[in-house]
Amino acid sequence: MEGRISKKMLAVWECIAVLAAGALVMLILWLLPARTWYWYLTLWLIGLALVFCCFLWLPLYYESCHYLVTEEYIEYSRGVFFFVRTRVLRRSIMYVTILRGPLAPFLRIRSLMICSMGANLMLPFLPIREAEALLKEITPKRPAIKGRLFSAGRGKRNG
Amino acid sequence: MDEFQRQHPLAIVHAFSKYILLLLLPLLRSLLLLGGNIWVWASGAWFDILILISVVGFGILQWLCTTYALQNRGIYVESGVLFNEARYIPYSNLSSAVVEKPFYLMPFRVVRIRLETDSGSTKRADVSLLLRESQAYQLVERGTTPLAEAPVRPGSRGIRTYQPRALYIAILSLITSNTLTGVLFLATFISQTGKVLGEQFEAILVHSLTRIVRFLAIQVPPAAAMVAAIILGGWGIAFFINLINHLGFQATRSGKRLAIRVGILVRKEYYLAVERINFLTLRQSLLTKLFGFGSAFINCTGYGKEKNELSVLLPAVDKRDLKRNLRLILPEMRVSERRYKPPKRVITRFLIPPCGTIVGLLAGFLLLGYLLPSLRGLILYFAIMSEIPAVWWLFVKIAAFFHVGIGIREDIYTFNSTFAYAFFTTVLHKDKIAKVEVRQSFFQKMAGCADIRVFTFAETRHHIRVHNIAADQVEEFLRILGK
Repeated sequence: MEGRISKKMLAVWECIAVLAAGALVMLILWLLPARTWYWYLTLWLIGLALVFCCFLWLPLYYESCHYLVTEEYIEYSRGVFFFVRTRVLRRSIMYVTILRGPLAPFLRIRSLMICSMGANLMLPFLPIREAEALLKEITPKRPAIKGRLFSAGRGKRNG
Repeated sequence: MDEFQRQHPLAIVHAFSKYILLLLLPLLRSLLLLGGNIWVWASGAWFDILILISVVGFGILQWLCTTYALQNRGIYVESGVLFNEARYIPYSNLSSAVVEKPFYLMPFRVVRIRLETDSGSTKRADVSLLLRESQAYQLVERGTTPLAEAPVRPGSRGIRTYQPRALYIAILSLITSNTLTGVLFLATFISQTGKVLGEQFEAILVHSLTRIVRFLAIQVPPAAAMVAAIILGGWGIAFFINLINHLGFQATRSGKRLAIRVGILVRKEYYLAVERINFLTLRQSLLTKLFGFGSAFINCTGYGKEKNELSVLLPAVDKRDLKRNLRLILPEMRVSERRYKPPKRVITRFLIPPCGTIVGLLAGFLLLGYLLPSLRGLILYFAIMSEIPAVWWLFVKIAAFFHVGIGIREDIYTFNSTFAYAFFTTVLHKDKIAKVEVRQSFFQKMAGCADIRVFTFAETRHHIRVHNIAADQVEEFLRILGK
């Protein structure tokens, strides 16, 4: 089972980037003396950063975000300049939590937090149906403690 | 179900002993100064006496409200005056049981017992009781005897003991002593002395220490002598604390129970469930690595959790001793040689950071010397002082290239990693791995390597970072781990 995060999130991120750039521009207009060389430079830099974010980095970042659920593990990959793959072994999962942020009801998205002793893995911004299906799929059917015990010497797993 | 029992009555004052002592000593001092005239004394110090009585009263209430019962499969504990807590802990869920015997409780035959599971607070024990010695051992027996009676390997029984020489404990204290710990201890000692015995005594203490420093500082500027004294004194105190806390170390393996005894002034006995040991770490510095020595620590909830405690298993061992002693007391953990390691082409990724730092610092100080010619002597001094750790880091990084990697032996994984100036060898069962993260930067992608971050089972978040493993080996590692 594999999938991506909700497409709506790309639009949300781009809106946030535009709003953040707008706020920065307002701050610059208020703080720096108008029509000086550094006033122009700062505004140009903000504009360039916005274009870079909206047309290159965010779409690429969105493309890089995907998850993979197998019999043995759950993997989530993301990143453009630093590519990161995070893998949680299914036998170490203690429980799974479904999270709903303030925008989630409007966007119909949910995030899943997969909890294990000593580490968590977040699958963020999943379409609601996918999140619920994943919740059923990932929730451990057997107590995780079984998988944590090992018999001495041979390192054989119980369960 | 067994009868509910209470803690030893000393628990009434033990929890607040510090505050009671802070109130009681000044009160007694003022009583002595007044020549034993109780009425005059009580009319002047009535408020302090009231506070003392209320502290003791609260202690009595707490003592009355804290009860426990040893049941067939677990312990039931109830505590709290205003907020009552009742918890039942099955013995099979215990990670460790700790019996603490401070010297001042020994005449009363009273001990403090702490029970720990893998869950609960990361700072406090899940259960902490002050009990008579016999009661405490009854609890330990109920909780850990089934573990001790289980065979280490099918068909094998018997008790195996490891006791290091005192010299090894001294080496461990030498490696782990921290100046800051000692300085903090000294500062607390001086301020608490002032509170208990009065400001005059505190002044005498500080004056005596200053005189000692002046006496030792012959032909050295007073400020430099004071700094040196603080650093050396702090380190010396930390060394001494570590030494007395870990002298008498003894580890005994019986079945699936590992019992560790340490300490002289405060004797501690740890009973650990071997199955709950999350990982073993061999810690080395560049020097100890060159001499082939290291200290082995284990991570098990409850062991090394309290202040001034180290989760040590083998205080100082060389490579051969490590394998031999591990076979003796923890045969489940077997160190293996590196199977996955950084390829030769990425040695530059190890050398660039320290070389860059050395060159950067040199360029910076040369520029400073050029701009401020009058301060050249001082700049030269600071340049040398800051280049030393950078050059040392270069040596560490060269050694790191030959150290980092991953070894696999059946289901036991060995991760060789470095952090700052230290070298770590972490051994764990693959079921103790909670999460694996593969991180690849743009430059690492070009060099065909990646970093692996392994998050282990532990009460607090803990991870191991293995740098610059070849990309194809990372894939192979992930494939084997998933099996």
